[in-house]
Amino acid sequence: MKQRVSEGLLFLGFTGIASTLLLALLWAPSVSLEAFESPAAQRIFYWHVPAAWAAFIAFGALFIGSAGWLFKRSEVMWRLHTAGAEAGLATGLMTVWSGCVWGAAEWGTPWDWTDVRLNTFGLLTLLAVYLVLGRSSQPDGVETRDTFAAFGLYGFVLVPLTYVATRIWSIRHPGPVVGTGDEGSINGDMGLVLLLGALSFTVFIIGHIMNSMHVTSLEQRLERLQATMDKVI
Amino acid sequence: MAQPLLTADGIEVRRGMNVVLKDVTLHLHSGEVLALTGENGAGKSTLLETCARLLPLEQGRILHADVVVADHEGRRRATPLVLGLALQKNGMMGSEYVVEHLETAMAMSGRRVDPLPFLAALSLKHRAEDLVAHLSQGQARKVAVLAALLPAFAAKEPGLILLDEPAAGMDDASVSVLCEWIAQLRILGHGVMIGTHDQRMSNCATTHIDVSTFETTAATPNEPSSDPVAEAQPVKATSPASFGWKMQLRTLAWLNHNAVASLLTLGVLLSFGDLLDGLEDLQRYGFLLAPAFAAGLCGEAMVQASREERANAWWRAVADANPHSGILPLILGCLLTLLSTLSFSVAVEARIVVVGGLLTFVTWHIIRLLQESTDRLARPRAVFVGLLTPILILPYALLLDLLTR
Amino acid sequence: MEGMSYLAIAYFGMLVAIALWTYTVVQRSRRLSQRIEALEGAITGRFESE
Repeated sequence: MKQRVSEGLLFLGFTGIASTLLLALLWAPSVSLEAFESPAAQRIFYWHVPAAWAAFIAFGALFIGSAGWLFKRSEVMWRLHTAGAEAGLATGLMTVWSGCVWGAAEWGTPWDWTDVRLNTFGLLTLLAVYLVLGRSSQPDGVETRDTFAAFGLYGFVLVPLTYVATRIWSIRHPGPVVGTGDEGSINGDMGLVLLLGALSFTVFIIGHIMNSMHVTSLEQRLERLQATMDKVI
Repeated sequence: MAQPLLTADGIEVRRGMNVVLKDVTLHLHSGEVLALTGENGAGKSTLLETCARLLPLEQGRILHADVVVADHEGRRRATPLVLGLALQKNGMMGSEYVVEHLETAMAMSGRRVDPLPFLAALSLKHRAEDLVAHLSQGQARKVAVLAALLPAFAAKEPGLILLDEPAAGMDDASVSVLCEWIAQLRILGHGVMIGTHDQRMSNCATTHIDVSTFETTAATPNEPSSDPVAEAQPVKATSPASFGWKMQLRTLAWLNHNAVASLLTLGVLLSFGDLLDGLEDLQRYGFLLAPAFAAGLCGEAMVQASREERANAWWRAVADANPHSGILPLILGCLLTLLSTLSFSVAVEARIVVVGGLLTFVTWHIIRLLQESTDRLARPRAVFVGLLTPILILPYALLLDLLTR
Repeated sequence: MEGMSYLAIAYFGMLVAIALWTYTVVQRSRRLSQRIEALEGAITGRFESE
């Protein structure tokens, strides 16, 4: 039942994302040349911002799951940690990569050390890469879970630290932003497409997290059955 | 009865996904020898390692004398007792000398005795100045077990000795000598806990505990045939930093692990040609300090080295910390920055050299902590700690910024 | 329209990437369910034959 719900959410979310991107390409209004260096690249906004929002949900799940495992030893919270790490990796990569592409077109450089969000997402995505690759190389057990849950929990210290660091950096080195970037006013149609994108990515990522949690519980059930089989043979 | 040397109070310990020990309570008093018996996987090693504070507790606490040295909330304190430990792995690095390891072990108790008569009794006196790496398995095992017993022979107060399968791989004559020493230590008032399948070891015990059921059986142990003869003198403890420094200088691991990457970085930067003059201060300092930063980013070679034979576990139990390089990165960073400055034909600034040293030192030890965080994992080498190193780029950039103010 | 062409290709590529990722997760779930069914069958069969 849970699997059907999660697959349904995945399908619904995916359809929404595909629709958003179609609308972004064909329907969303163009922005003016005065406001943006690269009006075409600005349309990445309809992917970059919802992806960042989905990554925010995923990293939140990672944080809550990590805390839940470390402090409550909850199996469900461990599954949330693993699902959050995988979803955070995928959406983090989407956010960072789309940010770099947009940055290269708009700012002339793919990376901006003054941009808090880009740096925060970059570091959290690296953390997610570490967690996903690390966990897949280890047998399941309290040692593995404690080690990676601690990283998942304390990695969030990166967020305020990155904020402080980039604020200091931006005071001394104003960023290479040329146009008004994505902080310009958003008209009704743009907002509509963006809202559709945000909703679609939210539904999609929740479906993904639910599905991943289900997969982890299946893996654990398989492990228990194999242990039973070891004794029976 | 006097307070116990060791108390395990309602402990629960997991390994992997299994609860190995559940609601276990036991006491070890002065002059007692507990033999832990049971089939493989019953929990003998787990119990010994937990009592040595090497494994975290899900429930309960461990006390040495009346001091809580570990509890289920993650609190950990140094042991107030002299602690001798021999795990199933020998706990020694191949680059240590035999007598050096024994002196290090005794130094943790603050007192030493002459190890040579003990080595002679185990037919190892001729190997005293050899590297541990040159010993056979059986010889290394004898040295590891001796390193667990000598601190107690040197100590003034009763101490705690934890031995996991001490007789494994030993010849009969050496096992007899071992039994005699355990009997002597028992008479001296030390508490000994032995995990063993060997009947000869079990015969040394005052109490047998079957770890599968925790059924306790009293026993009559062997009596020693002679008194222990060893005059002890006070000695200074060896710190993990001084040990790590010594190993780094002996093995030159820092050269392979840190210096090569740093020199390569310098080489690559030099290949861009004479462009330092055209750069702003910020960029210039970035070039000058990049080799020092690269050396620090490579982390601590001692972390990997001390995983050999679980030497890091031995150090964590007896000295509360893993071996590390201490101030070596500070010196290395200063030298690399000086080299970098000279290579770029720029005027040497003392503050930049010092900053380079500090940069290497701080980065090195931060990476070391990240590396050590994976020690509990089954396969620590399979984890890519390097993926986390970009976290240090922003602080590096801020440091450069600070220098230009 | 050159920029828009690149954007369209990038968007399509991203959709394909998301679809592939979702497909692997769903397939993993299906494969695991099959393995669990097979193991449960084998264990039940073993107990019955004893």
